[in-house]
Amino acid sequence: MTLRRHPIVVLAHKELSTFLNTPATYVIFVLFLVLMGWFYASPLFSIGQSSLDTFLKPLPLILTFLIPALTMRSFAEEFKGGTMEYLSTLPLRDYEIVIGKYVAVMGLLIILLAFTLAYPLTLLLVGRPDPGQLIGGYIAAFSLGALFAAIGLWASSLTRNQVVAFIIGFFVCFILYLVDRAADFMPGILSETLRWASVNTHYDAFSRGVLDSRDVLYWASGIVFFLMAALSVVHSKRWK
Amino acid sequence: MIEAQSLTKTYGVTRALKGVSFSIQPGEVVGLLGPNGAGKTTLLKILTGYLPPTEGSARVANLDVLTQSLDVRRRIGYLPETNPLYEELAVYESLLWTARLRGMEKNETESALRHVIGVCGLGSVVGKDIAHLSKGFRQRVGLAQAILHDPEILILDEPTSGLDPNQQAEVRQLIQTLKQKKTVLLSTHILSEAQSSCDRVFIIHEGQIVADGTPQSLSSQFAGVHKLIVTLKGPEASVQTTLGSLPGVTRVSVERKTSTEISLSLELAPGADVREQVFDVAKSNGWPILHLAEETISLEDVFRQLTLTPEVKA
Repeated sequence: MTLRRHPIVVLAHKELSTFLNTPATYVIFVLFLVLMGWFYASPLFSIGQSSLDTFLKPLPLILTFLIPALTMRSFAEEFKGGTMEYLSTLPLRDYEIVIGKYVAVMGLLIILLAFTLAYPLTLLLVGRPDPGQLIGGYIAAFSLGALFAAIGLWASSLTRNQVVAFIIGFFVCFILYLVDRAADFMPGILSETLRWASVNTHYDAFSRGVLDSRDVLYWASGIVFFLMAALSVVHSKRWK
Repeated sequence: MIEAQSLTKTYGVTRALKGVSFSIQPGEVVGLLGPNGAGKTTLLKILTGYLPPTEGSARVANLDVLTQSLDVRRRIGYLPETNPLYEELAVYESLLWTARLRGMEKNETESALRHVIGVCGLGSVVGKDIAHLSKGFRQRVGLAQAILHDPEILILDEPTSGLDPNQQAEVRQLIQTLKQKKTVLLSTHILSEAQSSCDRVFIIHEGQIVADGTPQSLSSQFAGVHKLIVTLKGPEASVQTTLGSLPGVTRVSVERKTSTEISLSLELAPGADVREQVFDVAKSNGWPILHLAEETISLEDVFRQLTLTPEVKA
């Protein structure tokens, strides 16, 4: 079977075209770009540095709610409309359904981040930014989005209500974003654990341009964990 | 083609299926008949591999529905009871994605799409969004998706529910054209549908198959009592006693009466035929017969007999 006809690719293609035919997607895109543009550009000339920091710093917080907003319908809508029964009785394996949907969200994330390439381009015009830091920043942003998307997909698999899916997704992403703030008040080992669990630690390391295998492991294991969780939820719905 | 071995399905404490076993031969059109909540949909969902059975096993096209689910799904065309469709897609897109998700070749897809659009009469709506379709057209889209890959086996869960009589006839007609080369298992609670379009009928009640046979054999098998309905002109009391005294008549009851005519129902002993005697008696007493009809038991009566619980009957 050619790659083009692989069920995961076909499903991802279908999901992506559904996303791009949904007005909500564009609302989220515009909201994201307006917010990011303002955060990025307004302090840029006052601090006088040619770096992406003003884009990368607020990004995690923005993504904690924008990514769950994109993914909230993925499974919830299928459960609500009964179309999960259609998908599940096609010759598709459950994991192909989960990964197909995930790949579609990744496609969306790439499109979303591609729009922001205007920021580094303007930096290249007006100053001399560090290319390593630019590339690292984008890898960090993509990794963060990829993890949040896995969380959002899992949240969506839990319920048939999109609003509930959004709230669960946002809540989990937000906790992962916040936990390192609590680390300062905790004793030794617990403090380190919380710092390790926080997305900020790994996001900051990446966005400085430092690609450490431990950070890669964090993102990868987080994504795998939540996709597996989504898979087992989808799977277990039938065994009840 | 389809075999079930003591299938049992339990949802929490309710037992939806209680040890259902049957075997369906290739080319048969089988109707699954039963009141709402009898377990029809559960049974069909198990056969399509959507729900796992709690106990028992099922084989479709000689493949186990649990362990060889993917191969089973390739051979089945399934129309779920709720007929779930992607509202935001146009009819053509919906069919196209179904073909792609089923892994059909590009050249094969085109001819298959043209075929089902023709067979299901979707030509006038191919470009419309599914959200804007009438119920009849939605049902046809669901059916088109089910037969798109030309499956050997069709499992249709209430294919005519919610349709008006014309649309029901169209869908039945469609099933008739499909049955020439396919095995069809359909569920319904419309008796005339089972009677007209199925070779064989299972009556399912409270999770068990309570009757299995051709519509005709079921009717005769359960025809314990048959009746003669007589409408004539005459004095009620004497008509009733005279007809009641005929040999072979076990009971007489007045169905309906007006000032001039009276309608009686004569319950007959098995094998008795009293039509001539009724005529003779009526003639000798000068009571003109206006209507005389034998009432044969229909599938509907069999169904009611089998699926009404005693409390409801009383």
